[in-house]
Amino acid sequence: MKIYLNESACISPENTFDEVFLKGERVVQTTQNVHAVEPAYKPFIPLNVLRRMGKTSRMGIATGLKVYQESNIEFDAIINGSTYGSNAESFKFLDQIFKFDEGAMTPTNFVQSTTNIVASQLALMTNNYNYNSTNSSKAHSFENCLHEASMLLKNELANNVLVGAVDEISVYTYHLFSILKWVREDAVTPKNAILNKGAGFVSGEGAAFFHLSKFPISNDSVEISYFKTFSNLNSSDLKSALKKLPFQPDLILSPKNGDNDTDEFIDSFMSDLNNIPSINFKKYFGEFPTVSGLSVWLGQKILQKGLTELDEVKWNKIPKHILIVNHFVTNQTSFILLSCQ
Amino acid sequence: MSFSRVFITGMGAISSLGEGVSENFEKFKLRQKGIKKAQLIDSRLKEEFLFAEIPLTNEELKIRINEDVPSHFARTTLLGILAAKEAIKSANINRSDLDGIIMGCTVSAMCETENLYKNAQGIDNGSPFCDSYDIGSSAMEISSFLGGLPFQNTINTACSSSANAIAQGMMMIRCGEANKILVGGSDALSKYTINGFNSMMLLSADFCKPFQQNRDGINLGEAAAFFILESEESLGGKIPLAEIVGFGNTNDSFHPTSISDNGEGPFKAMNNALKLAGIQSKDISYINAHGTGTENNDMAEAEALKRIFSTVPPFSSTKLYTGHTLGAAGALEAVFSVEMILNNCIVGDDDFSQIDSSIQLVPTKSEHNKSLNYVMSNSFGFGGNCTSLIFKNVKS
Repeated sequence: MKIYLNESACISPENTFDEVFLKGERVVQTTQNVHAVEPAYKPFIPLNVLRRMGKTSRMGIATGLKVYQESNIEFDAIINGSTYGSNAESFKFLDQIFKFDEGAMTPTNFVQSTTNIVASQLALMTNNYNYNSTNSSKAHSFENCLHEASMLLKNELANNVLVGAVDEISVYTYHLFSILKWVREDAVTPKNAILNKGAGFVSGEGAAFFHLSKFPISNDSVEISYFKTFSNLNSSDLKSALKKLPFQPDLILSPKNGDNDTDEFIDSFMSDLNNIPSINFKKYFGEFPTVSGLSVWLGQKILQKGLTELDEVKWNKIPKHILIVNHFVTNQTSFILLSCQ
Repeated sequence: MSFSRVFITGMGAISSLGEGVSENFEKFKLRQKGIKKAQLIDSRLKEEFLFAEIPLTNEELKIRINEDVPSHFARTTLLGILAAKEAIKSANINRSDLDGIIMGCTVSAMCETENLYKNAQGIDNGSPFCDSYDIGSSAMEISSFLGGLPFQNTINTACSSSANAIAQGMMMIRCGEANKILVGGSDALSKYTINGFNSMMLLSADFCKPFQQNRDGINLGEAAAFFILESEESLGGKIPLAEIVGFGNTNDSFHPTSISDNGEGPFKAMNNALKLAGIQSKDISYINAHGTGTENNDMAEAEALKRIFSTVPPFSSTKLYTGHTLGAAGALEAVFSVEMILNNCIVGDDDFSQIDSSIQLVPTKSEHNKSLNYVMSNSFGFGGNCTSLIFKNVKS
């Protein structure tokens, strides 16, 4: 069974929502985390609703609604993936609990903090009564949404699914990442972090949504020709898993993030693919568990626009198959292969 | 394309009623309540409201697990492990036979609310839970405890989370993606959730009274329940406990925290479940209602029931006995649904006293020697996430 990607939207630390990123415009951030470039939300979200929304909600809902507006169909299902949900809202509510010693509190932060807020608000804002779900599985949260969508297709319960993923970095996740010794302590851009390796990563944030379909909607539809997730696999097992791809890719989106140990591991299992041109997508988006959603947007756009270069990386021919590899510090790996029709 | 039938071959449960499916069902059949004044939970609201707490400390849970457990496994994971182990044992399979785990959850290690607060403020670096607060952690921890399962996923659709985990497992087996899968849910009581529900004034100081005129809120509880789902071909000679024949997952598309007056989402969820099962509404023998005991839910659910069923079949809410166990509720109530099928009985609401004049429906009293063909189980959550499941008696 085939799966296709159609309309899509992406918010990231680069100008991806209006796509000037694809024309070469770059945003430079030298903070310890790179923050999303948030668009003007007004065309998508009414101001009175926007005021109550946390960042996760607004990024996820705006990208989802953009895809909805451009697709102009009633989706059979809406599925979102998020690792940390609206964590800033959770922590605001937590703050109330301890500040007021479990006294009278306003419920807004609690309501906004539920992980399913993005998928359910998308249903509410598009009058959609159909299948609705939210998955969370650290660095497989987005991939598990692709899986759930493919299950709906295979079970003949859906033809068109709105699928996406979103995560935000807050001061709170930053503290947790610091305790876990995941973050890079010296302020560097994600790009410089990859060039000048060290300990830890530069965290990022963002959202990506897609119209996923059972049949191609147009000549621009890109096929997801293969995807698979792996947990706790060693280098040689991942190496053999890479041999099972149905097509040899002509471009790779690589998950290196500048952390010494992570990049060494990635190099070890990807060494057979060294002759294929590759782009480090985390130099644009930073590192976070659902960044693979953003990388799929990037891969889809490269295929659709027939790009033959991105910054310093050039490849000779218009690519037909792009392999996206993701690997996160939780030892979760995924392969997603995108192909032209 | 032809689809596989999907069978339940193992179950495990732990709730405020007891440890294990049989203790849970024995007490349930006697209509005992696990709802009382909470002892263990760190919240001053335990003085004010009733909860359905499992009367075992985390250390006692670890002793019952009786295997090595890492220090970063929070209460949600510990409860989940106990239910998962029981389900695997009762299905008589090996851990390594499993194709994956799908779990419904809404708190994960956020039940360590005080630790979470300190860690997130950057005040305290000492807690082992820093990589366990995200919703997906518990399922991954249970998977690693079981030796590492190929597929791991967590669904958070609020109070319908574990019903949707069962539905996702059903889809995987139905289309041939999996043969044996562990599905269910786990949620521990947490200061975070208790205060969340209190901020919305949804907690009751008394026993919850689903569908009654004087209902005034829910009793929050904790539980874990897991199932082994197997495909027809994976059964071998084994006789399954029940078959799962339908699910409906819809969104009410109305409001973030309340259900529409005509219960459109619940109506569509039940309707879709009937459609997938290929049966008619009159075929349903009993409905395990969501029935939280809040003004809004019970009214909307009753309205949806009246719209679907020309004569509403016997229905009741098992939350009377276990409280509302949030992410675990759909799975725990599915365990009671299957046990009622296996034991030819309905455990209803025998003490129901005050009809709500605007609902005009009375939950069923308990019935013995009652053969049940199809049982429907409803779970509705915040965000309008509505799910209905249908279980079939394999002897009928």
